[in-house]
Amino acid sequence: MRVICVEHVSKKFVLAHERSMSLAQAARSMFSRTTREDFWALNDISFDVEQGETVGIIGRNGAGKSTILKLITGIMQPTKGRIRTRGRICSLLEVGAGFHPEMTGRENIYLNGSILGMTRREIDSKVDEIVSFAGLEKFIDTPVKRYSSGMYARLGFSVAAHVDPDILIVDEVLSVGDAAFQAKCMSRMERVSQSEGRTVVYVSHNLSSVQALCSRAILIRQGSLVCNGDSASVVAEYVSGLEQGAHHAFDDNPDRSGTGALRLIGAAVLARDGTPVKTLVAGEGATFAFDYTNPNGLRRVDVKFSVISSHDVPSTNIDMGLTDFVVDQLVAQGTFLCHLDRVPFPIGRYRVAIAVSLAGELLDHMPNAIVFDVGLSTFFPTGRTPEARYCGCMVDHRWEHLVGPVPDRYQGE
Amino acid sequence: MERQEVAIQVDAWPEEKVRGALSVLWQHRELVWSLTVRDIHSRYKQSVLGIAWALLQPLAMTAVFTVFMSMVDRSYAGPIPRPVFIYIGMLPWTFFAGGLTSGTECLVGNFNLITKIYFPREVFPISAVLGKVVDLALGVLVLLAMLLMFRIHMTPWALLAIPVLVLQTVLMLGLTFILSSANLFYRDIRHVMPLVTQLWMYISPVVYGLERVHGTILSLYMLNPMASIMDAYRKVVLEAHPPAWNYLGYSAVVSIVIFVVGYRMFKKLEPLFAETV
Repeated sequence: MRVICVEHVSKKFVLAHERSMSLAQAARSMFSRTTREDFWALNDISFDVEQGETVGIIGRNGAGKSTILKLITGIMQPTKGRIRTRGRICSLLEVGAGFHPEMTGRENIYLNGSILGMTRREIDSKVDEIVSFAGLEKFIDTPVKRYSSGMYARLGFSVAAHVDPDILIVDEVLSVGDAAFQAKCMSRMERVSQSEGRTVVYVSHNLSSVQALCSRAILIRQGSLVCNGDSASVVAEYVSGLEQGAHHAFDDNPDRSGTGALRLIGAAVLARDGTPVKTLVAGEGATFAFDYTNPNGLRRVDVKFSVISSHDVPSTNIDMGLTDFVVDQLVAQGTFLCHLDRVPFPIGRYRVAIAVSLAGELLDHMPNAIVFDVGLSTFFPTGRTPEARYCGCMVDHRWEHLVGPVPDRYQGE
Repeated sequence: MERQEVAIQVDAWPEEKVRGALSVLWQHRELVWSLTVRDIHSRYKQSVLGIAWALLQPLAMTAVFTVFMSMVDRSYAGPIPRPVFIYIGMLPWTFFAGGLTSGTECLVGNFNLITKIYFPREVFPISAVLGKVVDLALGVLVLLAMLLMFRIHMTPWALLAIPVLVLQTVLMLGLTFILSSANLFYRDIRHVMPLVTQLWMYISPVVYGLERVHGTILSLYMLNPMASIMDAYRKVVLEAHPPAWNYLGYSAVVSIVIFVVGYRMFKKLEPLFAETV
C-alpha cells in the first residue's frame, strides 16, 4: 500500500531581499517594481513510498531535501503538483521542538510529546521508558534550562523515538549526543524501521547510515530527482557525482555558504614536485593549495579544512590556529599552502571541506570543495594500508615482543 | 494499546484541508492544553510573586482609576462602590487586552515550531487566548471576595455573565486570528497593539458607566462591539438587571462575523506561514 505519494511536485520560493516588510515598505513596493527572484527549490519531483519501507533522501546542501520533508509533513504546500499521505506522520526535523527552559524534563516530555502528536494517555504509559532511554532519571524533575546541551538533545530524541507514528520523517537528528547515544539512536531507528514495520523517510548527509538503515534511496540534485533505487547504488551514484562536481575552480560550486567577504577561487592537491594531481601516494609529501581573492582587504583570516573519507567520516581536521599560523597582511589575491610531510590517509577516495573565517564569522564554506584519491602507499614498507572505513589516519608505530614472565602491571585493579 | 488516529491529509488544494480543520482541532485538544500550560509557565515562573501578577494588573489599574475618576467625576452617586464598579470593567478588559497582545505574538513567537512541525496552526491563537483565561479566573475570585466585602448580592441575572464571556472570547479569537497572521507579514502590528488596546479601553465603558454616554453619540459609541459586552457585565452582576439585548445582539453578530472571517483568513494564509516567518 502506498502511504506517501508525491506527484509532479514543484516548489517555488520568492527570494526577496527583505522577508518581513514593514507597512511602509509594502506601500513603497506597490509602486516601485522591486526585483524579486523566483527560485525553484524543487522541480517536478515524483516518487512513492510503500508502507513499511525505509527510504533515504540524499543530496548536497541546498539540493531540496529538507523542502521535500516539509512538503510531506504539511509544513509547506507545494507550488505545483500534489502530495498525498496516509496515516499519522511524526516529523523529527528538530529535537526538543517547543521545549520550555523553565519547565522540568518531565513537563517537557508531555509538552513535546503532545506537539509530536502523542495523546496524554500514550505519554503516561511511556514516560518511564522515555526517561530511562535518555538516561536522565536523576534530572527529570529539574528545569531543562539546567541541562547540558547533550542532555537536552537526548531528552528530545528520546521523546521523538517513542512516538508511534505510521510514517516517521527524520532529518539528521541523529547527529546529537555522544557516540554511545548515537549508536543507541541508530539501533532504535533500525528497530522502528524494520521489526515494527513502520514507514520511515530519512534525510542525511551520513551516507553510511543511509546505507545501513534504508532499503531504498532517492538522490536529489539541484531540486531534481536524479535517481531512485536501492540505497547502495544511489549512494555510489552520489559519490561519483561529487567528483564530477568538484571543479577545482569554485565559481560554479553551488554548495557554499558564508558571507563572501573573502572568497576561495580554487584549490588543488599538489604532489611533492608541485604538480597538481588527482591521486596522492600515502607516505609521500603533498600540499593542499587554496587560492583566494580578498576584495575587501581583510587583514587576517583563519583557514581550516577537513579531509573526509568516502564513508563520510572525517579523517583529519587542519586549522591554522593549531600551529598559530597567522598572516598579518593579506593581499588582494594569494594562495595558502598547507604542506603535509607524509600523507597519512589509507587508500581510498576523499573529499575536502574548507571553511574560511574571521573572528568566528564564516566567510566562505564549502563542504565539497575538492575530491582526491589516495592510490598507492609507501607509508609502511609493505605498501599496505588499513581499510579506510576503520581508519582515518595512519600512525607511525612499531611492534615488539618480550619473552618471559609477564610484568606485574595489574596490581590494584 | 490505544492509539489516536490523526489523518493529516496534505494536499495541494487548501480548501480540502479547511473542511476537516475543526475535527483536526478537536483531535489536537491536548496539544492546545499543553501549549496553554507552557504559556502560563513562561509568564510566571521565576517571578517572585508568580501568578499573583495576574491579580495585580487589574487591581492596580482599578486603584489608579478609582482615584482618578473620583477626582474627575465627582457626581458619581451609584449604589455600587466605585472600586467594584471599575473592577468589573477592568477584569474582563485585562483579559481582552492581554489576550489580544499575546495572541498577536503567538505565531511569530512560535516560529521554530511553525517551521519544523505540522499541526493545525489555530492551536497557537487558541492557546494564547486560553492562557489568559487562567488569569481571568483568579481575578473572578477576587471579584467574588469584593462582592462579599461590599455586601453586594448577586441575582440569577449574574449567570448571564458566562455567555457574555463566551461571546467576548469568540470576538477575541476572531481578532487574534487576524492579528497573529497579519503580524507575521507586517511586524508593525505588534507595535501598534498596545496603543490600540489603550485607546479602545477609553471608548468602551470600562472605567465609567454607559449612562455617561448621551444622545446622538450613543449610537456611534455602540458600534464598538466591546461597548455592550462591558456594559452587560456590570448590569447583570452588579445591578441585577438584564443587559441591553439589542446592543448585545448586535455585538454577537459582529463577533461571530469577525470570528468566521478571521478564521477563514487564517486558514487561507496558513500555507504561507512557514515561508514567511
